[in-house]
Formats: sequence, C-alpha cells, structure tokens
Amino acid sequence: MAWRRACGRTDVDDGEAMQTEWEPPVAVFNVDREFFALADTCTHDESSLADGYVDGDIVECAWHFAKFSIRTGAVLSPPATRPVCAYQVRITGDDVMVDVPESGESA
Amino acid sequence: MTASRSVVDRLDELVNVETGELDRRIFSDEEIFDLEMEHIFGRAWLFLCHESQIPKRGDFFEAPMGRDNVLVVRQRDGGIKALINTCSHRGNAVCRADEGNVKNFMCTYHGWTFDLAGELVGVPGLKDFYHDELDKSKHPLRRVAQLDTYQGFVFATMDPEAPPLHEFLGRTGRLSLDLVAQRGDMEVVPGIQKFVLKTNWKFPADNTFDFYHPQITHISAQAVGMVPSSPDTLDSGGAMTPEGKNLGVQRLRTDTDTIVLLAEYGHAISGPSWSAVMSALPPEYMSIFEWHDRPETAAALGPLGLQIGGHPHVFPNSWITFDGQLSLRVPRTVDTTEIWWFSFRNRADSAEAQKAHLGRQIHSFGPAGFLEQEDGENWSQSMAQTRGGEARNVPQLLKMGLGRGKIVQDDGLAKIEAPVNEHAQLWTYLVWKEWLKRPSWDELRRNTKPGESI
Repeated sequence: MAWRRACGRTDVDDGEAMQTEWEPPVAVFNVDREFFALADTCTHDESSLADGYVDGDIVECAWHFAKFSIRTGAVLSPPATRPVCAYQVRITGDDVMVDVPESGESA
Repeated sequence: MTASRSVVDRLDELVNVETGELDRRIFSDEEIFDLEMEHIFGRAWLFLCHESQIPKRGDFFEAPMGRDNVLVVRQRDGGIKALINTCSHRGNAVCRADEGNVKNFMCTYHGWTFDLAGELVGVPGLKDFYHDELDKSKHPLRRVAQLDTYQGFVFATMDPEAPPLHEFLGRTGRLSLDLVAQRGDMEVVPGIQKFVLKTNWKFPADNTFDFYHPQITHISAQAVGMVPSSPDTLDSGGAMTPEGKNLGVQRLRTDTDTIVLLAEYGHAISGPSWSAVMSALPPEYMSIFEWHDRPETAAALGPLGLQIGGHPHVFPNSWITFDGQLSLRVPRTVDTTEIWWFSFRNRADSAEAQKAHLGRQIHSFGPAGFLEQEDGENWSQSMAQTRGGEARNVPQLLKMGLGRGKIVQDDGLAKIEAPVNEHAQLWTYLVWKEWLKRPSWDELRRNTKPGESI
C-alpha cells in the first residue's frame, strides 16, 4: 500500500464526490467536511460511484440505484451484493491523501 | 360521402373557406387524428419548455411531441438535447417522472442506462450474457431531428427537412413569444399545471381568438369581478348581488379595435388592441404594464407589435395569454386533450408582485381558473355534439365577418383591422387543411401565405 495525493481539500464540496484518474479509479467523498475514499466502480455494473447521488454518508449508484455506506463500503441496498473497498484517508496540509495498493498489489 | 374516398381528398369539402362552414367530423374522425399526428405534430416545430425550467446540468422536463414523449435535458456542456423517452432495448420509458434532475436515465425493465446525451453507457451482464458483442454506440436513445430556442423558449421538430425555427415562427410567431420575453427577466414558475378535457384539441385552439363568447360564457366570472374592468366599460342595468355589489358585464365592443395578424404555417394573433385592453382596466392595474412603455420593448415589438393586446397562437398548439402564460393544448386521443399551463414571472419583481401575478394567472386559467372552467365546459359540449347521428351533419360555422377581412401589409405583417370577428379561427382551419395534404415545406409556405382578404 502507498499514500497518494487524490485531490486538494477544497476540490470537493460538502456532499460531493470526485473520481481520481488512477487505474482503477477511487471515489473521494466529502461528508460534512470529513473525507472518505471508496473503490469508484460499483460492484454490480460498471458505473462510477463518484457520479452517484450522495445523501449524507450514503452513496446511491446513478445507474441501478445500489446503495453503499461511504464510511465502510458496505452494501445497503441491492442490486449490488458485494461491498466496495474502503480506503484509509488522511489530510496532510491541504492535500487529501488515500492509502491505495501499489500496482500489482491486490486490494 | 363514400367510404372509398380518403379524407385527404375531401379536405376542401370538410373545411369550406368560401362559406365559412366546417364539417364536424374533423373533430371526431380517427383517420383525421392520425393524419394530424403524422403531418402536423410529426413535422411542425413544437414548444417543449422554457430554458429557465432546466437551468442545471442533468435537469430534465418531459414534453409531448405528437404521440411521443421527449426528455428535454440540460447537457454537461450547457447545451440542450431532446431524447425520445423509449429504451433502445425493449421500448419501456427510461424516465417516469415529469421533471427533475438526474445523472443518467435507467430503464426499469432490464436496467439499460443512458447518459444525459442519450448514449447507452450501461448494459447489465454485457460480458456474461452478451459476450461483449453488443456495440453500445449503436443503441443510443433516439433524438429529435432538430432543436432550437427563441428567447429561451425551447422548440423541436421530428422532421429533419423542416426550415429553421426562426423561419418557421416568422415575424408573427416571434412577436407572440416576444410578448412574454419583453416583460422582463422571465422564468417559468415551478410546477406546470396540467388537466384533461374530453374534447378535440382544435376546440381550445380556435377559442384562442374568440372574443365573441366572453359576454355569455364568462358572465359569471365577470359578474363576481374576476375580470378586472373599469366601471365605464361595464353594463349592469342596475342589477346587484344580495350584498349590494354591482353585477356588471363587460360591454362587447363594436368598433374596429380588434387587430388580426395572419401568417405562414398557421400562426396568428387576434384580439383587442393594446389601447382597447388598457382602457377597460381599472387604474390600479396600470403599474403592471410599465414594461410595455420601455424603449427596449418598443424596439423589440415594433410599432404594430406594440398595438397587440390579445391572443397570439403559435401553430399548432401554443397560446400565449395577455398576462404572461403559455398554454399548450396536447392532443392525446381524438377526444382527449391535456391542457398544460406554463406561468411566467419576472425574476426582478418583488415576492409580493410575483405572488399577485401568479394569483391573477391561476385564477383565470388552469384547474383553478374561473375562465377556463367555463371554456372547458363549452369545448366538451362541442365535442359531444360531433357524435350525434344527425348532429354530426350540422356544420360548424365561422361566418362572422366572412369575406370582409381586408388583409393589408403593415410593418411586414399581414394585418386586418375589424370589429369582433372569426377571421383567425377560419385562418387556422384553412392552414390546418393545407398541412394535412402533406405538401413540401416550400409548397406549405406558399399555400399558407395570407392573400388579400378572408
């Protein structure tokens, strides 16, 4: 695992999310000024969770409305049946850092 | 009348411009309705919504286009697209809401998902069941043929051959929309009022121009003061309510203060002049119409446009009212019409002024409108009588002022000055008949150019 800079603290508004350009992408959420990171791709289909509807600490996938906990990645509503990976986040100065697997390393 | 002759061959008999007589079958005949859907609503530029209804990325509004329903969607780049609301897989609607904000449209049958531009982005089981052999780029939502806006009013057509919107509207159609746009920084009040009438769509459409009916149809609304009128334009004969209120009825004018504008493709404006309307209003209403005195308004409307007091109709089914509303008459079946009301307000007005404006609008027209509840009863009655075994043989008459409407060119517009008349109604049916013959756009424009008289 390695800490990577995902974005600046002011790049994501409260209640919003952004998608990193990494492969695979990570979704960074701002929930009441607290930052969280999930694997961006829904476990049901190929949609981006950063493009989903954020309601508090829940994200609803924009395609088929599966819901996940932004805090843990747990499935809260089908059609998804598997959780998404949740990553550690820390704030360093104005940077939002995410602890993600290094290339070749399995999540 | 023999069954073997198509209604298209009988159109000149069904709408007789020489005698001002219409065959009532044009309101009840299923074949004619099918032709209208194909040749009018399948070709004309149709009003969909106003840009102020979909300001943000992902905002959408569902609008009717003939028998189709389209999703008018604000794009990521700020543009607007209109997508036919049917899944490219098995046809279900991809959106069940009248309006809202989305990131994607998903069909609730199998979950095919489309982006804001209508591109197919998600197919559940694409790898497992389609073996990655389905080319998603080949199955987007279908779009309208052309979409354009004028002064924030969004229009579209299903016909790729249709002339540009600006040309289709012409000066008369554009003037009709300017009469709303020039009032200020206009936006649609959220919430489109919709209700259903058992009538053919053409009855409300032709009533747009009818200034003969208010003295009887709207007598009760006028008597209780729903139509603001200065005392010297009211006749009461001394009649009073039990509470002692004057039961005044607006006097029908017999002077030549009605202005009629007729135009290519069927657009028309007809009603009392601006000064006639103003002279009938009580003084406390004058401040509402200050927009009309601005030099910008005069420049936009032109000298004749400034004289227009009432009732523009953008063919085929959009009526613009005197108080900043647009009414869409949506044909659903031959005898079922939805009436949709878009009420505009000026963003620059105070909250109090906006509330008063909306009050005037919704108490005149729509489900809570005195005037339209009275009109709706007429239109349903007219419809019912197109079905009687013998009643259907009685022609519908548009003879008022027949042959007396001298058309003159004024400021590039085809104008008639006359007392209360039925010229614009007759014009609407005359042009309607030409559309049903399915001419080329050039022929249609030529055949619907106003002549010297009507």
